[in-house]
Amino acid sequence: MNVGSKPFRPRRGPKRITPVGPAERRAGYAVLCVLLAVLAYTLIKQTQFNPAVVAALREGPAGAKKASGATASELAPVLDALPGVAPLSEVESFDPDTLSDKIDGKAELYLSSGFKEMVWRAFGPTGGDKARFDIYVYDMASPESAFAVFSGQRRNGATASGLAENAYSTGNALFFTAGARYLEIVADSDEPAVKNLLEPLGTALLAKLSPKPGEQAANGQEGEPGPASFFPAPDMIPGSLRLAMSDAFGLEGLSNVYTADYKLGDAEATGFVSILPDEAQAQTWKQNFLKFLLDNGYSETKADDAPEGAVLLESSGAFEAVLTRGRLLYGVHEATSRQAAVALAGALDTQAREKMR
Amino acid sequence: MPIVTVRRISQGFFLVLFFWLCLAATVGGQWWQMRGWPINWILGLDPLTAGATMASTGTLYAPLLWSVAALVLTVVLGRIFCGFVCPLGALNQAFGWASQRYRKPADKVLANRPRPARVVKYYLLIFLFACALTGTLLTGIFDPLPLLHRSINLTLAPILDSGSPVLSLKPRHYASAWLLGGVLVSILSLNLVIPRFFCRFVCPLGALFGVLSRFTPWRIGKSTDLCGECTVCEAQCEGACSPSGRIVTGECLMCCNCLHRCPHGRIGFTTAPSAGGETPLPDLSRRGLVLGGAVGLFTGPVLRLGGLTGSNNNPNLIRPPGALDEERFLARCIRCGQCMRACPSNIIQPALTEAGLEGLWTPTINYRLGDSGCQVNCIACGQVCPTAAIRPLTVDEKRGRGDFAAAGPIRQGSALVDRSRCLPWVLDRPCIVCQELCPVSPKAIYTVTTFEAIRDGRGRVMAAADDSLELAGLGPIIAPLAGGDYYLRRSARPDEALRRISGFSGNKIGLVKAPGWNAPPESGEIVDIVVRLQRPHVDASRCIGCGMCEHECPVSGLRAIRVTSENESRSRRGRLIL
Amino acid sequence: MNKFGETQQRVENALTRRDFIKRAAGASVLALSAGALYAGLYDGRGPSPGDTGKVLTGLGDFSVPAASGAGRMAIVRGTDRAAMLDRAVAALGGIESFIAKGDRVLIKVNAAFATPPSLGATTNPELFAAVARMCLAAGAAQVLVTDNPINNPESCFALTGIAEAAASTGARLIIPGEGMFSPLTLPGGKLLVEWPVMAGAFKGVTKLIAVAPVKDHARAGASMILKNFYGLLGGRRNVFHQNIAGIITELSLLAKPTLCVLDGTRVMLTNGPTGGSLSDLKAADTLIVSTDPVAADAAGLELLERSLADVPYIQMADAAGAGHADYKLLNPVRINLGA
Repeated sequence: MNVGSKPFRPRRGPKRITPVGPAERRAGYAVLCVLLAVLAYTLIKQTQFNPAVVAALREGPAGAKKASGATASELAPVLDALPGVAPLSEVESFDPDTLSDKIDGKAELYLSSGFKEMVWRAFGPTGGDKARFDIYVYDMASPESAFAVFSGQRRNGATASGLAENAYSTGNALFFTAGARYLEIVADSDEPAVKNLLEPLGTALLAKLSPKPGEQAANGQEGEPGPASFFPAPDMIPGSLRLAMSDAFGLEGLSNVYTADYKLGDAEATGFVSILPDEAQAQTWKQNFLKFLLDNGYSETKADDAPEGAVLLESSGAFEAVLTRGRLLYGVHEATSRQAAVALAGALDTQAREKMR
Repeated sequence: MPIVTVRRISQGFFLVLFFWLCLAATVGGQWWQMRGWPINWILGLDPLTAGATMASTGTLYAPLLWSVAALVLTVVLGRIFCGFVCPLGALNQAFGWASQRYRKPADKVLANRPRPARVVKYYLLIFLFACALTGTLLTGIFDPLPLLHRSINLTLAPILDSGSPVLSLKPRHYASAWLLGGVLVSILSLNLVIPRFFCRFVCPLGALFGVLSRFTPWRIGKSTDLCGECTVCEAQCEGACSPSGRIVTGECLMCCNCLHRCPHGRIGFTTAPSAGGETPLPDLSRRGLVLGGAVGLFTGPVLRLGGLTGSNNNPNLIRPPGALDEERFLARCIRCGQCMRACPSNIIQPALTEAGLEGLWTPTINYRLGDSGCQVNCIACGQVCPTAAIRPLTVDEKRGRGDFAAAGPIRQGSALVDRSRCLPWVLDRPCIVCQELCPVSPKAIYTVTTFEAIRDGRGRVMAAADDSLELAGLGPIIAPLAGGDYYLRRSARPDEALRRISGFSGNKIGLVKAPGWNAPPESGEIVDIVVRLQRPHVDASRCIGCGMCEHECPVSGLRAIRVTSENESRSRRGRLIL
Repeated sequence: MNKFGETQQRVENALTRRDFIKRAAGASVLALSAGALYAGLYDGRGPSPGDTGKVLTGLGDFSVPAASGAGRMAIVRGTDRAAMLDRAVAALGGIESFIAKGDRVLIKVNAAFATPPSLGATTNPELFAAVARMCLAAGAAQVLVTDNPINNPESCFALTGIAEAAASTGARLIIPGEGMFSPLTLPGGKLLVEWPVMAGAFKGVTKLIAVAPVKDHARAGASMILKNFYGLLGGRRNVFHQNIAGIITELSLLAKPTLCVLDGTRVMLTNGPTGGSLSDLKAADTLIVSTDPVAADAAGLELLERSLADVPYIQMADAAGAGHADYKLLNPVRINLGA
């Protein structure tokens, strides 16, 4: 018996007596070299990405096509480099088939207004601030289309911007048109530091988007006064000019109708103007519109004080007025009082008479 | 540096490398993700996979060329792979060593004595080769490298994944992982009974290496017969090959423990045969070999008699995109689980019964499990398959673009709407989730709009205004009438337009103004509240079977739209549409 | 150690050395045979997609890019078919530029009728035999010959002499059977939509040679190389006679042959395609060999003393892109062996 025995240690068997011979040592080193070679091979191989990884990094979510090749060539360079910001993503290009992948339900508005292509890129300020700008450039079929989507989405509480003829800004974003393009610069916050970058970005983009040959300002047509000029200025709510490219007022087929909102005293009214290709069509559409209103519960009322040729209709306190003059179809929509309807109709008529001289 | 130290370093190195390559097999560019890590390199070293696929397909798939290295190494030096490289061998050895540590030397010698059952692995090897010759590849079930890949990929790796959002954003799931976990635990636990149990009795790769090491010029052996039979070497022998007696060189795992431990240094790795005598392989009975081969030749065709690769195929067996037709697939799949690990949607699952007994643990797709349907631009599964049972596709080939426009996209099957379960078809609930999510363009799911009267939605008009009606007789309605999907239909006046309901409070139903009605409703007139239902239909000529619809269908149990294997590209038989 | 011990040691060493060499040899053999197996079965490309169940869209493009400097058409005047064939093929760069070692060559002959070769309604068996021999001499692994005759195939091949010629040259005669036909839809085709064609004969085939006589055809205007492809159609193909020019145009797109051998030694000037009387034949003593089937037909047309306007399908095939109706664009090599 051992008193004061040694602490228990597991039996490991006798230790090796013979020393490690040179052959054994060499073999060991050879194996270690092989291991190093394997390690080196592994580390080198990992730089050549597996095609699945390449595809995953390149393709991104389904549908987003790269802005490469002739198809997207015109727009993509616009988002190459902008002052004060660095790109946070690649340029992505969308066509009518894939637009809804990016903007989902909003695509409908663009698609019905002659949308051709959109490019998008995310940027962040180079200064180191953690902010993000999403810039969308929509290539529409014409300046009118661009104006249509611009005006159709005008937000409440927008501030007019002097950046371009059609431009407004909200707390965190800047919206404007440049010829047949509609642009949105959306920042992820309304901090002043971020907001201050919006206008310079807008200016830089405008500079990059040289107008296409033959393009006019959004509301112009060669040699003719633009529809906007048919709206009398007094009492018009600023920035309310809109263009409905198709199915205006819910009447199928009624296209290219400009509207502007007015506040006359307590009452509100919307004036509308549409230039048809010829007088016959203007008459036809007047009849169509009248029938449409009558079908929908409107009834004609006396219009002695209304301008000559105007048809005045009413339905439970809402008033409509329809006039034509030459190719022009114009009138008042959803006036909240008869007085306002008549007054605005008169103003529009005077304006039309002036312009058509 | 003693060779056993080098051996331990090597085993540790390959074990760590193995675990790393398993963990990294996820699509992505970060250093802990796939990048270009050679995740199939260890599988490629496997000459059993190479040889068996050569037997079953008549070709050697290029990445398996690496097995030449292991083969030549074994032919010249013996079972170096088993002792220095094999990660399952390393794990088995570690578990065995831990369980033997505190035992008496005499017990250790007993544990490492040669047992007759060690011949089983040779019969298994013959069986697997014979089976492979008939076109049925079952090596993956027993071959340690695919086995360990599968076990780690489908049990340990997802457990680690769920522990860290870095590895995987969402926890990953694998059907019947319990079985795989059980197998892994069993294999490792058996080492507590007999060390390196799997290596000594089951491993067909080891058996192959044993056969290949028949002519090694160098092998372990005693330098003199004048050893005192102290059996220290036997106590440490991992291969149970009797180094102190007549050594069975084909069973020697090259652990070099005997060489290291012999108190007098009498064991060496030399060209001379062992002084105690040597024999290349254990006593294999010819009867056993013939039987093993015959059973193998019989098993393959028997497994196919059920017609599972032909007319009796399981329609719920959806294979990953790029998979070969079933017969060729089963001749190549080694059930390594790499595709299951790499799939970013986590929808590739090990089959239990879906593909029959022959298809055990082969990849099948389960769209209910996982994150989404098969992502249209993902080509991970084919790109990580070590034997091309799933062909490596390019995105263009998968989507049918570019050069492959004439061939069209790869279809995994076709979705079909279950009209007995779909919300707009039977529950009068608007839903077009499947149509919204269909990723192909133009969409393979289109809707047909119809209006159905809702329950308790019939009322009598009490009062009518331009933009509202007061109704009586309506039952309790909980549907969201103002949501934009509900309309009012005048029962006796079908020519009148349906007017959309804009609001509902008490008995008053608000109606959207346009379009209006030609004649206002009379008092007492019957009206119905109808719901606008967009009922989904699948256009089988466009459906690629990606399962996005099935995955997202809100009928969460048995989905109202399900993908089945009809119309899958890989099989001519299942064509739905010409 | 004593002398005995030394000797014993030396003997043991020698034994060990011998054993080592034996084992090293064994190991090398094992390693090398494994390596050879690996090399032999090596597959760098991976498995093919397999039969995806798609309908066929064509029978294949067997054309060979023209060797630089070599012509694409040779017109030989003479009477000995074999000699004319030799000279014509030589003028196009030799048979080696078309047939490579190991090729499986399918020769499409006209064996549509069970008539003897002397009546000129079918491919001359001597010419066919010469083509087959030429291909085998160039190293073709196998030469196959086929047609889908209107009547009983066995008797057609027998009476026309094709069966015997095949046997004597070692070519394999493929008799059309049920399982040989697969549905095919020609892209852009209006007639060949899901139509059974003899795709089974093309299994493993790497080169296609069409050998046909120049004949009048009551419906089509002429029956030469392009009309010869009619013999690849199955089903109730007579329905196509309603639009014979259309179907021949689509046939011209069905498969691109490697070589066309148009036999104009004795043309059937009247009462084609079956003929029946020796008086229908005229000795034109010409053999046309070309890689362009449309051009071959256009050149053959001259032997029939017809113009392109008489036979609309040639220009239609040109318009469809199957070849050149203006055969002179090919700068045909004209050889005269004496007629």
